[in-house]
Amino acid sequence: MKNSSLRFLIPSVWCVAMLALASPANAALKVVIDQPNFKPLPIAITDLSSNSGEGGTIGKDMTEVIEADLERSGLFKPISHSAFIEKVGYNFSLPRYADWRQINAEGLVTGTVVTDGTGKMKVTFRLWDVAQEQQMAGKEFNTLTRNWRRVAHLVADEIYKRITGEGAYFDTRVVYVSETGPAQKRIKRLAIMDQDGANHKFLTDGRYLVLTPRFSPNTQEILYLSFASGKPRVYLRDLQTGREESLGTFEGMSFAPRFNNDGSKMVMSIADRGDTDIFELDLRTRRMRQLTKSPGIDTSPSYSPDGRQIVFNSDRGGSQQLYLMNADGSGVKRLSFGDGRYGTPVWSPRGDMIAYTRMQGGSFYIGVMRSDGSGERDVSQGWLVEGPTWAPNGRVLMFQRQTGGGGKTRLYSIDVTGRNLREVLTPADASDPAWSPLLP
Amino acid sequence: MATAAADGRSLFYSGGMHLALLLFAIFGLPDLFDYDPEPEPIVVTLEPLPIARISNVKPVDAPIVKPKPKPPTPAKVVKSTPPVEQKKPEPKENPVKVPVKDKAPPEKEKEKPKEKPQNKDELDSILKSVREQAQQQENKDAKPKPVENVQQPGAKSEKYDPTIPMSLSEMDAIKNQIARCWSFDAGMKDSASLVVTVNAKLSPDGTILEAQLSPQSYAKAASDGYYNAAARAALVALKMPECQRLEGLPNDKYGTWKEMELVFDPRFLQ
Repeated sequence: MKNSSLRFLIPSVWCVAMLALASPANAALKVVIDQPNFKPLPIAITDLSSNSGEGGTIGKDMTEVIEADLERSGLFKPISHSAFIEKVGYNFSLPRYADWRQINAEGLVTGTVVTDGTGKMKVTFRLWDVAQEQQMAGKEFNTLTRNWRRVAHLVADEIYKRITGEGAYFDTRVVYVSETGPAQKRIKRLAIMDQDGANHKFLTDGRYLVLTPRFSPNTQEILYLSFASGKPRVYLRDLQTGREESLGTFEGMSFAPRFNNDGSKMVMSIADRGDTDIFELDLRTRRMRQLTKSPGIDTSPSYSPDGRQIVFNSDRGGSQQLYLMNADGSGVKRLSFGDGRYGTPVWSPRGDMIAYTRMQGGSFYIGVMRSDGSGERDVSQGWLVEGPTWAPNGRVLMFQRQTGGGGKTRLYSIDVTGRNLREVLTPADASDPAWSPLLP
Repeated sequence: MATAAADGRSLFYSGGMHLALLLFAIFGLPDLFDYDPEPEPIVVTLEPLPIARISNVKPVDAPIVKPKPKPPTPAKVVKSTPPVEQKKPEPKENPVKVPVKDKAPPEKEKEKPKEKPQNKDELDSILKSVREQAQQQENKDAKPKPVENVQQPGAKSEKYDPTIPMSLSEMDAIKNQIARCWSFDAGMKDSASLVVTVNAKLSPDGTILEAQLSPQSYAKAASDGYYNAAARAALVALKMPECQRLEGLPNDKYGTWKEMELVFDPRFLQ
């Protein structure tokens, strides 16, 4: 009896004691702040200093690329160098934080470039948190001087990752279809460039029509639709050797190809006798598997980042909508229920969202929704906007946009929030962009 | 005899029963399960009243000063305001020591009137007119006491009631000021779930002396890149020049707001 009463008494006393201890925490006034603003983070990026003239020139050029990358993201606002109070030289050690606070810098980047005269260089950089007065990141790169531009993108990626928490995306490339000539005799060529438009080059000569290029996960190959044989076929191209290969001959027309997450498989649509279905091709065994069998058009398949599901568009329900299925074709369910027609869905590499094109009332929209179909919203609208592709961090979208009346067709990028719409500069009209994963 | 008595009793019972029937017909049967929920809403509507009264304390201080021209008759009210004006600078000079200083002046003021009666005993026949002055002093002594209790920040914190809540307008002022400094990136993955809690300590003038992540937020920031960025944004907000000192905090509730649990909650962002 005594024991049983003790058994209840001890926990009771303990609970009371815990409550008594908890009460001081409740003494703090709780204030919930729920309406934040957004403004780009002011960041001071000093010229990467050097002990040589060559290194100094490279350092200045690299600083310009880093500033341009961060500014273009819409999340940073580089501060003009003329506002800097502290002069940062080659022998710089620690920043005078007060000087940087005075010009409202929240981040500070310093670094050096050391060249050895044989075409090699060592680049170091440090990112400082001015508010917390501490170093946030620092890295060293040993490479050839001719790689300075790529190293600048890598430095920008480190800064971006450390401050935003997002994955990197500056050290990437974009493949797209370059268009020239009159509408009746349009010449379409595959082209590739860095994400900032630099290092542009054409991959095909325009003798035959090419469409819908897609990067492989290893960034060394692209899939695309080509009329090289007179009939539309899906081709695989090695970017280093330039070698092209047709992925088999199928009954009917094959199009809308896309790799899976590890590049071992691809999905595409094949139209035959008025019916279009989705097929999966194992790139190692070349074995084909039919994933959809419904009457009507099933097309634009895109894998989820984990490779377990596929989103596609279909008119099986009477109007063109987005659908979701397992990677083996089972468990099909409708994803979109809004007004208009939905097409070209692309699963975000981050996994949380799906981007798509929506057509309604004579206008086109680029929209995003959560991968369960909720939270649908438009991020861009225009006379003709379509073909969204994600940056590898799932934060930025690129798409083609044509101005009214058959005007120019150009590539644009936009933040997933709908902010920061920017034109991606190309030498001529451009369509069908595909953003590469991070370069190896 | 027995039948007559029985008849009388039955007549009595019959009359009683008829009376009872008549009463039931008029008033109906009693409802033992009758409860009336109507008064409750009236009680609820009264709850906000004490909050409204308290939130008026600060704004009322300044307007009271204006009706100076009334000195002669409403002496208790009018004389009470000028001292407040004079004493207001005190907390600014040394705000941290306010509670300590507050204790001293009232004691001195109380001692003085006690000494004066002693002097009267010693010089009892010297100045009868002193009585009039003493009366005036007594009046003065009597008047400042309530004034100090009402309007001196220090005196109030001494008698501070920790159960007094901050008013809605006072809470909104804090929220709005910090929200202006808080730059949050809504494009982060699952951004609505990145709720960050910062524990802050403030000085009596509203300056944020210390701001650090709560243990839960600290642990999450160490393991999640997105959360780390959200946590950094919250801490940077409190270091912005516009937010290093929170404005408009009621001095008399310092005990309530000297420690704050600031919850940066972006869930209402699109």
